[in-house]
Amino acid sequence: MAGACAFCAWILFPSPLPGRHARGTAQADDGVRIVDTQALAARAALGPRENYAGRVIVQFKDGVGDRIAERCVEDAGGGHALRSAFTSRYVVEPVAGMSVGELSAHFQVMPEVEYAEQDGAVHAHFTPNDNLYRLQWHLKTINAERMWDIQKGDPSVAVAVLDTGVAYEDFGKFRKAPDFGGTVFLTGFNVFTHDAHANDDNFHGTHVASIIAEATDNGSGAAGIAFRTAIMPVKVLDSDGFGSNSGIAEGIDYVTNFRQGGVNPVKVINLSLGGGTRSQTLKSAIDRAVAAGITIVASAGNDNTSPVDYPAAFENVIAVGSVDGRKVKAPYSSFGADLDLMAPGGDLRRDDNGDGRPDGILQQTFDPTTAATQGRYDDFAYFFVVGTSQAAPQVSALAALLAKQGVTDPLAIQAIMQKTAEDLGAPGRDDQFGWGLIRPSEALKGLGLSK
Amino acid sequence: MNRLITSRLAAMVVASTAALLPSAAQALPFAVMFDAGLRTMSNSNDTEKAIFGAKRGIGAGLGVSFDKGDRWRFSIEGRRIKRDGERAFAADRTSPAFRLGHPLAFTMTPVLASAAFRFSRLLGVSPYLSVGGGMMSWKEQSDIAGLIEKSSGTSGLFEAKFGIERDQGPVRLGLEGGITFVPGAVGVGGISQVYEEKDLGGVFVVGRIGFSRK
Repeated sequence: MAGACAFCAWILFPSPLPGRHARGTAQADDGVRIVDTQALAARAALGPRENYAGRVIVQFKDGVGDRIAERCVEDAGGGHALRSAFTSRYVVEPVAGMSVGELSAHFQVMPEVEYAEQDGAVHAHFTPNDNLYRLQWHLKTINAERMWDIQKGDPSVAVAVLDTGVAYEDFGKFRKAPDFGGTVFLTGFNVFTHDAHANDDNFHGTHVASIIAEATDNGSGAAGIAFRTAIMPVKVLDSDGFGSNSGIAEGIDYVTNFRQGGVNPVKVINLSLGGGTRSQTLKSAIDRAVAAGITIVASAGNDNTSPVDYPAAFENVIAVGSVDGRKVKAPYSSFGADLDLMAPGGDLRRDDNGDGRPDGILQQTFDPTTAATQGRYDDFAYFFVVGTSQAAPQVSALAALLAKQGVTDPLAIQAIMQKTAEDLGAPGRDDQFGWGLIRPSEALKGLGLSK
Repeated sequence: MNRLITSRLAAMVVASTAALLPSAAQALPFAVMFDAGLRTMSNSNDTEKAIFGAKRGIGAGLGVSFDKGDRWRFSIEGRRIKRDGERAFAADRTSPAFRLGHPLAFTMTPVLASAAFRFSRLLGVSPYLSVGGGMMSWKEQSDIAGLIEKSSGTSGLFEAKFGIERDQGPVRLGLEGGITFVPGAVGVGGISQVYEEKDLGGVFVVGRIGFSRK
């Protein structure tokens, strides 16, 4: 039997920091002013108004006066020139018909010039305007802003979330979570009812899916990591967070055989679940999925034991453990020879970033107590949850971003994440941290010819 | 160590040839040459494919040569070869590469001295064999979502080539092909490390035009 609740439900509601609540409400007590970064982003997409790359920076040597410098500018064929207020540095535009390279070359041979180089455009890094983003310390830990400069995902690539379901549609007593406004969902599957309505009746799957693709930069709520990536909800765990190896295998087979327009857009399966039993049925389903080009990511387990749980322990599954805000192994995170990577999973007893909140992973989901006691799945809020269940979807999101960036082979996706991970613990791979903490922006860079 | 030795050896060849140039220029017939053509990095074939795909390398060069008698020719030449590709990733040396879309510009600037032996004219053209050595400086620049990443280096190079040449008054027209070796230039990082390839050289075919003064 595999289950999700064993991973994190026990740490959902404790209030380890006196006077503070693990449950965050979206709009309360924040009082922040929102800058419309969507409008700014739309403007930025057009590129800089000024041709910053079309000019040359010239640093004159110490002791070169303005008159000599200006004569040099004239001799080099420079047009409009702007002097720094602080140093003998000029920004020079070439005259019509002259290239920046030619102008730079003229300066470089002048004895008065220390160096000359082409100017270049820079831009503000993408920072989402979601009002709870500042509480999502895990995104800062993995340098998400630089990652988003490179890749934000795309609906042509999907992550299948095999879990307790996802609050992705208004159907019967189920409601779509409010901060899934722009998130794209593919047709899902419910292994219990054998239909497409993979609605969440627990809370766990919605939180996991939100880590991957909660609507981002929409001015409210929290941010997701690969927020333009599509999500396929697959319900393989029941309302208590339990399921079976056969059920998970069924869900994996659904994903592997899924086609949309003749292709399977699902490139990643997230399994924030596990158990102690090695199942050949599950192994075979995983092998088929990996052979079909799907990367499989699973949480290591929350028992602080070795080895990690199945399916994380399978060789072709990326097993993910959890670190806290200090990049120290979380006390609950399981470990062992099959552990591959670490991602922030948090520790509710800590507040390492000093934001006055416990260091859980903050995302939307519905209140599980309301769900369990009243059968209502519409009491949505933002919850700090910790566990390797929260670490694994961060790796799944990165896998989806890598797939969009062009790395489509599961072996290559695992290798690039491992090779670019921040080595923690003993040098090289070790059983406590695997290859280390994911570094998405480094992974998305790839390799140059020589470096 | 290997890279240091080859660099020093190549530098000695260039320096000694350069030292002979002034006297040679007074005493010997000389020519100014231009060349342009295809230059590959075939000594690091997997690296080349991973970064540049099917795009070919185009290079152009300039040099001077001095003839000693009918048989020997000594030359100094420099070139610039610029290639555009993308950053890539491969899991290991046997794995295919995936290209990540970040533009990468790679520029090589070799300078070398060479000696050529000219064979007897045959069907109106003079075949020749040439060997030489020199230095190769290279620069790599990637643009990763607005952030520029650079690396560069210098290594010794060796070259062997075969060509044919036809004289038409002061004009020399030639076609030559050969191979360049730049051992130890790369291979300590990037995709070249994954594929365990260290040589930036490869085969080339270029056309050449020279203007001589006798």
